[in-house]
Amino acid sequence: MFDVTLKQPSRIEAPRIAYWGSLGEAWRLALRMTLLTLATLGAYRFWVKATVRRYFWSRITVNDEPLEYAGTGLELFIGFLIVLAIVTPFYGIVIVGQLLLTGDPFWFAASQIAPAFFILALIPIAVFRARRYRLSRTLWRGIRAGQTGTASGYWLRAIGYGTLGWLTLGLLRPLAQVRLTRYLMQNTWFGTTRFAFKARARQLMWRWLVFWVTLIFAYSASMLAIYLLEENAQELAGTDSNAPFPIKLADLWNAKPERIVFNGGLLALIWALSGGTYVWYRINQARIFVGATTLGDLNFASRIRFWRVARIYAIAAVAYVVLVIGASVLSFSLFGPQFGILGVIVVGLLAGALFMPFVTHPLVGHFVETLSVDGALDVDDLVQNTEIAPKNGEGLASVFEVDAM
Amino acid sequence: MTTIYTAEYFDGQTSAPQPATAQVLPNDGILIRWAGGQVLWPLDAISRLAGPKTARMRLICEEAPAARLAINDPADAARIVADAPRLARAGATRRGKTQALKWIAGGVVGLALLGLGAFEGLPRLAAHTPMSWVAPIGDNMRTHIEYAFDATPCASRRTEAALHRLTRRLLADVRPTASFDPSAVDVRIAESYIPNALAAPGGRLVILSGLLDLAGDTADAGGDMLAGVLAHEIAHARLRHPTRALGRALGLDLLLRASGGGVSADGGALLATFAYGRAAEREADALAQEMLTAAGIGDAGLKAFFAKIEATFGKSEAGFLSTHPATAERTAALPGVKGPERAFTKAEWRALLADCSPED
Repeated sequence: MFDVTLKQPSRIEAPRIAYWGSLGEAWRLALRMTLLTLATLGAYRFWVKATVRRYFWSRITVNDEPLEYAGTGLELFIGFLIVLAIVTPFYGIVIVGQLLLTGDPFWFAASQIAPAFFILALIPIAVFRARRYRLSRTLWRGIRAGQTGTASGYWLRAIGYGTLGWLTLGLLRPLAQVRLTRYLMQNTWFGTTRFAFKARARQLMWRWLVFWVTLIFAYSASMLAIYLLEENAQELAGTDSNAPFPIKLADLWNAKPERIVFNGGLLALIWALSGGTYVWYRINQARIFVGATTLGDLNFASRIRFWRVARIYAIAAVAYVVLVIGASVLSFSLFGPQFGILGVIVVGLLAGALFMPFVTHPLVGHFVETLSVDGALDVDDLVQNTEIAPKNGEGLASVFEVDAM
Repeated sequence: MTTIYTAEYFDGQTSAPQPATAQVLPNDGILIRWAGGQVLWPLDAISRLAGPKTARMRLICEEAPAARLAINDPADAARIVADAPRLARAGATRRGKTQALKWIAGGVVGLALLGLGAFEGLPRLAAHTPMSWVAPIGDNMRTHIEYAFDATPCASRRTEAALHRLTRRLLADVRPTASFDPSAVDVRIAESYIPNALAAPGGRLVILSGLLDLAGDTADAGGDMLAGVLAHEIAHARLRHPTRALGRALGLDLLLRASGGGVSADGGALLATFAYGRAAEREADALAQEMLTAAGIGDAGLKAFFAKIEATFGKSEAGFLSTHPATAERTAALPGVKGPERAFTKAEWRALLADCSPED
């Protein structure tokens, strides 16, 4: 009765990874998702997240077998409701506190900054839990990926290395990046096989230093340009040069127009250079991180290219600026100065939809196409891992990982 | 007799594909057989997984979430679709879709209710809180307003006393209620060139002394004008407009956070909430007229003040608090009767101008 007697390979040799997404599909998806989000007053955005992930996961194949995203918008929505229920009373207390402290400028400023720090401190936990959630919903051949480790362990490292980075004025930032990625990767599983990560901070250091120097240079140049324009504006206005603190930035526009254009243009160039250096650093970081990653006997390598990524971002930036400026001009000329801003807001929301076709699609495509794997993996090592299975029956918070923060 | 298709089965435990056969039984589902056993997937629990056009058809069943069935031959896949048209496209089962739709609809309704609560419920609730609860907030907001206008409170005993006497006269006939306590109304003058007057929650009022200059220097006309403005702000306090506005701002903040996800809380932003709307301004004008008439001062001063604004700032709404209704409309609504008594004595008015004028 059984006529299929193919001998199944017991090893997965140098798996081929491919990306099958298309620009047309990305455009259609982006427009549909944006319109649905607008039509539902934003309520649909959780389903957008799930739909978009499902699309990109499903367009990546490993040995012709697509990845799968099994998460749902409902899970994200319920996660969001839980977070909202926790966060709303907190914000309520914060707002009433701020209102009670508004009389004193110092305490008012303090009441503004303290909650921001608190929220900032929660970000590592949100990052860890969101990644764990996404991995637990990522499948290939029905086998789940997953993440072990603890949010508190990750939080301690993030705060510790983050503080070290700040104390060294950003110089030791690569150390934080390497140690945190190592913690995440060493705790990442595919089925019963664990990933390993061997990158070292010193591999990144000199490139980081190049970026760091451009950043310091750009900051100093900005401060100098502002100071010079301020001085020029005061000279023209005939006021004294002891500008009261805080410097009124509006004064800058009273400087000579050609100086504003020249300084502004020079600054834009310097910042673009610094931004480009950052992209270059991140590209090399990605190559080093991917190259340092192994899954069993599988070795990964990335040949992701700077110019390709820089071009993607440059095109997206130009498209965004052209669209927003064009829409602003059109909206103001159609609806007049009073209601023109409404058109700009709507277009601003729609412009967010550009991100998927202009950035996500080409970026994912380039990353996947330049990713190569060698070595082999025994299929017997790729078995469903019950330890990392999404937990059920421990209350909503554990069923629906908090991914909405 | 139904066709048997060659397939690959992934059991959800191991990653190795198992050679299998799939048979569509139109009334029951898809029967899958492989070396290790067989299983029947009910049709309405089956959905198709998303993938590139070139990838083979892969099916999943709600009853066995980790197991997958891959149909090797595209022609076979087309035949399965002919039997079960729903499987032509990737997507959830009908049950899954209905469930998602219910939650999305619930989300939209929830957001709409939240919006309604923010714009209607919270302001109403706020208007019923005792004034003493919001007084500390009002105190701080008033200080913050003065800070924002670069104004310092006018520290002069005699003007404080004159202002206090006028406030009591205007409130003499007003009985305390659950939401308004006349004795809690507290007025002060802050020195600033800007002619403006504002009411913070809890009956905390502030008059910026630019108004004194605007009112002019004749005791009768100027004093009654100031009394008109004061009565208008007291009327806002009686109607709990500032507290309502605060409630609405809080609600709006919550709503933005719920629909946008992550708009930061900013108590400072709530200070920009002194727009009560035209209806509220008309209401306050009417109540002010009532109080001015009862105090024997009459509404001629308030009417004259509106005329003064129009003369000084033009007909546009942009001068004195751009959120107020057009002055012509408000002037017309007032009878402009001058009562037998004056708001201040000549000495009081001179003291006000001398002590609290922004030129000091």
